[in-house]
Amino acid sequence: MNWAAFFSMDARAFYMWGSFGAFVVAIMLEITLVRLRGKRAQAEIGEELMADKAKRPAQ
Amino acid sequence: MSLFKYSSPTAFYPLAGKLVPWFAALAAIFAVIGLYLGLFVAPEDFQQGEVYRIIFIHVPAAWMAMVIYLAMAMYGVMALTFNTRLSAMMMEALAPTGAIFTALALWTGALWGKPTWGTYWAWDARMTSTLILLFLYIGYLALINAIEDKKRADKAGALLVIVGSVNVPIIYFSVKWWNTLHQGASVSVTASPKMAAIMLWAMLIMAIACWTYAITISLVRVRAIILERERGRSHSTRVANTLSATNIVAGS
Repeated sequence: MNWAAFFSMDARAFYMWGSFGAFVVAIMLEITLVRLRGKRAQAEIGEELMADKAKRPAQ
Repeated sequence: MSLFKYSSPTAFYPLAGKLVPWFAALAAIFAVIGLYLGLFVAPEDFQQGEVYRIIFIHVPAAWMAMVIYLAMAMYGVMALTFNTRLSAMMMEALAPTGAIFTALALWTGALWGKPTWGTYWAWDARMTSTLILLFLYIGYLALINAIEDKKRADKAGALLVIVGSVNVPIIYFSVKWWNTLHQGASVSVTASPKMAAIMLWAMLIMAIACWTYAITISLVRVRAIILERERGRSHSTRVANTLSATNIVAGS
C-alpha cells in the first residue's frame, strides 16, 4: 500500500482529514470533559457525605 | 422485579455503570471495523474520487443529530407526562452529544461541499434546517442552565425540545419538499441503495458505532448529572442511597 497516496487522498487531504480530524478531536474532547465532570461530581458528593458524617454525634 | 424501578435515578445509577463498558467496547469495535472498511476496503468513487469517504462520518453524524433530538423529545414527553426526574436528566445528558454530532454534520458537510459543489455553504433547506437544529440544542442547554430551579428548568427545557422536534421531519424531508443543492437520501427503506454494497456496509457500521458511542457517553454523563443533582441533600436518604449503591466512599 502506498501511504503517501493514501494520505494525499487525490490532493483532497485538507477536506478529508479536516473532516476525520475534527471528528476525532470532538469525540476525544467530549470523552475527556465527561470523565472530568463525573470525577468532580463524585469528589464533591463524597466530601459532602463525609462532612455530614462528621457532624453527627458519635454513637 | 419491575423495569419501572429503573426510572428512579438512584436505581438507574448502578445499572448505567454496568452498561457503560459493554457499549464502549461495542462502539470501539464497530468504529475500527467501519473505518477499516471505509478507508481501506471501499473503492474510490468514480465521480468524486477519494473525498467521497467523508460520507462514512458525515451521514452517521447527521443521523445521530436527528435521532438524539427525537430521543430527547421522547424523554421530554415522559418528563412532562409522568414527572419522572430521570427523563429530564437523560435529556440533559443527551443534548451535548446531539449538539456535537450536529456541529460535526455541518462541518464535515461543508468540507465535503467545497470540492464537490464548489462551496462550503449554501442556504438551502437541508443545511439551514440542520443549522436550526444546532441552535435548538444550544438553546436548550442555555435555557436549562439559565433557570436556577431545576424543576422549572426541566419543564421549560422539555417544552422547548418537544416544540423544536417539528424541525426533524423538516430536515429529513427537505430534500424532497424543496429543490436543494444537497443531494437526496442515499439510503431509503422503500428503495434499493444508490451505492455499492461495501460502501453501504461501511456507512451502516459507522452509524452503529456512533449509536453505541452516543449511548455510552450519555450513560456516563447522566451518572454525573445524578450525582450533581443529589448534592445539597445530605440530610435526605437519597445521597446515602446513591453512595451506598455505588460505593463511592469506598472509592469504586
